[in-house]
Amino acid sequence: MRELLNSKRVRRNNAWYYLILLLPLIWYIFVFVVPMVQGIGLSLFRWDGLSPDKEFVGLENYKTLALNTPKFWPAFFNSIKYVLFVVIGCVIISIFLSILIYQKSRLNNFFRAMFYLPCVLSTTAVAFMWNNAIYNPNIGILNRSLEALGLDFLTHVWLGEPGLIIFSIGAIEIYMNLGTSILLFIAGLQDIPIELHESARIDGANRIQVFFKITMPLLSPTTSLVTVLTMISAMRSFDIMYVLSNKTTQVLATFLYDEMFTFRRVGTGSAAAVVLFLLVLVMNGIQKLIIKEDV
Amino acid sequence: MKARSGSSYKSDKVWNIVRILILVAVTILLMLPVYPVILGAFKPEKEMYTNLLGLPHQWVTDNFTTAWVKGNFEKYYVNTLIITVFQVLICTPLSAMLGFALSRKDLYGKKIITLALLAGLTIPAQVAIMPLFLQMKAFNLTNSIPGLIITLVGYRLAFTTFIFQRFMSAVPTEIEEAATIDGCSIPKLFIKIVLPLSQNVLSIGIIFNVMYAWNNFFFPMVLISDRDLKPISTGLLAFKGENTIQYTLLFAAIAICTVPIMILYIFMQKYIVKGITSGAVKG
Repeated sequence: MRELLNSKRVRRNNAWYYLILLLPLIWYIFVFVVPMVQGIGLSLFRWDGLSPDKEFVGLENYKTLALNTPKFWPAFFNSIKYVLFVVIGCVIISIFLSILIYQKSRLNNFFRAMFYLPCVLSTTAVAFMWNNAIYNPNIGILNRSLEALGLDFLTHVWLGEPGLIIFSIGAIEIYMNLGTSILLFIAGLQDIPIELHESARIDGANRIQVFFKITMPLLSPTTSLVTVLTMISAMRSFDIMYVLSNKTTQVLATFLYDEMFTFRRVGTGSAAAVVLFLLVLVMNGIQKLIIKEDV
Repeated sequence: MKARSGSSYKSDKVWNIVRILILVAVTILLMLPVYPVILGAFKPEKEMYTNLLGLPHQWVTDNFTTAWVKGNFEKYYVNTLIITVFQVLICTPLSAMLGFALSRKDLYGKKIITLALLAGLTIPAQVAIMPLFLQMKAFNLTNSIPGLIITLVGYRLAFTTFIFQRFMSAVPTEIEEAATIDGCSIPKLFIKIVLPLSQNVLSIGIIFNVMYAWNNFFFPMVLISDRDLKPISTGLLAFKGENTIQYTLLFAAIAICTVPIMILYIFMQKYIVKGITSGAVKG
């Protein structure tokens, strides 16, 4: 009897839960799920985005992309270069900095807040800041300091040279991702019991040994998490590239936007978007193989 | 390191000084793109070429007034405020509801919903942008602030829901059982018990949504082309396009767009930093 009552109550409760999640779920389906599925579907059609007739072409768009779109492969490899540069740079710098400030102290709180500051600024604003204050060939700090140091031969048009622009923009991406990564690493470092460090130090290990033998292995779940998050955000990063690049250098995200909205080749654009998505999945998979730890 | 302070390592003091020196240097490096721009906004244009890093020799404020008027920033600001306020007002309760429902272990269909939400965190928005644009157009929601708000809410649901779900899952099911046996309905349980318990994550959710809605660039760029409906993120880009190469003017415009959010950040940084380091927010 009691059980019957119980199950009745559970069922009634469940009905309430469904009612509660109904509105947000419908919202999500309308804005995200439906367009997403359609987007994947569009990669199988030839279409200009305007006319009523869509022609089903199967995997033709993917073939066109791979064989007959000269801009695709450069964008593809630029994306990979960009992501690798950003992830490696971001992880190394943020591990280093988080180790310096993970202990609780007022001063460390101050530095944490400073390091996170770039993350709250809009990408357009940060892109312009870098473009003018750092990279500008006339007034920018970078070239000027190189000249002042007598290293004139190292000066560049940082956002103008095709081989360089990916890394110049990647540096801005790192700058904007650093704060979050540092804080995530701090969270990870605080979970490592201090006794482990202590006993290692008492046994005569130096700082560097402690770092590589104890801290790094115990930190690997966080490293894994930060890698995945940075990778995803770098892979779909669009804003900085769009604002600063002169369109001669593209990554997948900007390439496909041009395909869809400028050249009105919705099919190949969507196919490139699917490739971008698959790249995220593949990189995620590879990363999980390398660092065998689930996030 | 504190715990050990009794048993002294000779190198600790030296290390601490080195550590702080490194941190100060990094802080200066990180501010290097920011502060010449903010200071530059107060300089006359010709000083840009001779004095980028120093304080202005001659303080001027007309850059701000010129940029403000020329750049349509009044409109951009009002739009951004409306977008941010409504995004937060809608997204936060919706995510709290979804997070609450998903925090129940036995809910049928929980897995598939969670998977769909995870997809929202991983799949690049570019995959869906064309259909989204067309769908919004079909509903007459392009070039419309409500349309942009609807989109920003939808795209932020997954992220915010997980913040709530992670926290609400930690609320013991006994509380729910006890409450329902006492005749408390589920909506009441949600509003009277679980939500008040979630106050901290609630504020974290709000702060992160404010930053998202304020700064988002991609969706307003695709959905809004009307100059008077733009938020500051795309408005700033438009300003750059309209006013070529006068550094100080652009710097003033950048300052107009970033200084308010920086001031807000100074007051909120404690919660933001805590939110991430406590594991409530990932990414």
